[in-house]
Amino acid sequence: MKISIPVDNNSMESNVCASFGRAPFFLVYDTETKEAAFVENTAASGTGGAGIRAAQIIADQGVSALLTPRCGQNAADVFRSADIKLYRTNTDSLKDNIEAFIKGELPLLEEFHAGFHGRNRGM
Amino acid sequence: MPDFMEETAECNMKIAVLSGKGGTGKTLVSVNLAAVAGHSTYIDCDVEEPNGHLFFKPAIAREELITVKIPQVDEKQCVGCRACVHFCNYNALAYVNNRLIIFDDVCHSCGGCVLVCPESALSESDKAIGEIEIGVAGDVNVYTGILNTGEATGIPIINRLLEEGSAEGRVPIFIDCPPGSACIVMESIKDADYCVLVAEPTLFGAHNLNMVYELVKLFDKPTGVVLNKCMNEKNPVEEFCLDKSLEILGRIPFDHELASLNSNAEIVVNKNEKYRELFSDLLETIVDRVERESASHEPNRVHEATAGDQERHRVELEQVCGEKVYGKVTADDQEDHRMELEQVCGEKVYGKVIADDQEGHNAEQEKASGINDFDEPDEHCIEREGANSEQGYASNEMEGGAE
Repeated sequence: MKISIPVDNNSMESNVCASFGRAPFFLVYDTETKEAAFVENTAASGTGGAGIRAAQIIADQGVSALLTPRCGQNAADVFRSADIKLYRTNTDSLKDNIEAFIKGELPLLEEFHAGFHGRNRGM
Repeated sequence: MPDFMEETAECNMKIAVLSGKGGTGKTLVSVNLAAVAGHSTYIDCDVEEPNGHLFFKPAIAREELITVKIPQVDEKQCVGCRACVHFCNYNALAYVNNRLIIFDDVCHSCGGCVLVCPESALSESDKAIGEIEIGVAGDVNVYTGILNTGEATGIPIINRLLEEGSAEGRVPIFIDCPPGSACIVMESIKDADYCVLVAEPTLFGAHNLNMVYELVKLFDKPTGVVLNKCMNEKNPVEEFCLDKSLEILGRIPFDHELASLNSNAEIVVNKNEKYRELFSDLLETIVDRVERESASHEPNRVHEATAGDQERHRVELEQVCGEKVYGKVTADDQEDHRMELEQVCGEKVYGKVIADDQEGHNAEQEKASGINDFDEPDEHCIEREGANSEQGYASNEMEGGAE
């Protein structure tokens, strides 16, 4: 199955990126063929709605699962519509998370933050 | 109504009260100014947390729902071309699993997606983002804008508020602005005749004051500062005002009784004569400044200097004073400039000062003792046509045209 993970660099040695919508790259990884590709996140530099655009990019890769430390509500809505399951990463290491996912050790991500789409923005 | 207000009742008088951060006393100042003015309008543009109505406790005469346009999709018409998804700068649309998803909260109501859809699958529908309340408290008309929690922007509410609040013509109009210097503040002050900046006596206060000072400068608004929570110690805001030649319109003391009345949602001018006097004096000062401003702008209203004139004029001024001139060039700039020139040439300079004057003088100085040009009529100092009305912009236009 194809999975995706937000990463800081386009390398298998990279850490998992702390942000989903603003991650510079996404790893698209095939757990059967071990094939890895890095997709640039063109949403990262956008002024708003980065999570929505980033989720669109992931959905267009035809992945079945996203491994991420956190995710906003709007992006989560896109993933739900696209039938993509979300799992919570448990360390910074990209490789460790892939292994943990294959072993079925990663929990589902079920809490989403509200995002900052004009909301709760301090003046 | 104080005596000095009676003559000014006809005058268009929109006074915006703003500050770089919340909690400096915008509402204290604007509510009490409106109360002491008597026959007046109070508009609460702080739509994210309007609280002026807590003081006025107005009887609500009318409420109006404020809506914006958001797109809706006819799924039968949508072919999944994603033209709308690619168009939207705010990423308010996504297309997954053969379905278009629209994020209302992210949408900025530009209507672009509807225009670019080649299948006419998108149409606009109304979405309520808040409301305005129009009420009366004694002689004060109270307009309150309320933005629903979570909405992207209160600007449509502010526009409607200002439209409604100005329509009645009950002047002076006090606009209680949102804090900060973002778009909603710009929207709130854009039609104001005068801006009152409220600041706290701290370094942080001076920093925040600078933010709104920069903003009002950009909008070329006449401005003065009210110092709130004043204590008998060094005030960084006073230094800031001195540095920027900003007028201090009044000082509100750091006062337990005032704070306590205000936190109990009382209008302080109604509770204690000393506060009535304080705000009455402040109002008198502000009204005087607004009148002075509108008088000095009168020629501009008649002749309406064009953007081109302004630009020419700016270039002239920059050449003369050797530094960048920002904002609209005003009569005051001219006056400063005249003083510079007079210092240089050691005699009175009449009429409008232009770049040629300065250049002429430089040339004179370079020639040093050579020519005694004081025996001849000094072409740089002769009274020019239209010199009588030099205070306004009318002359700018004339000079601009003469180039």
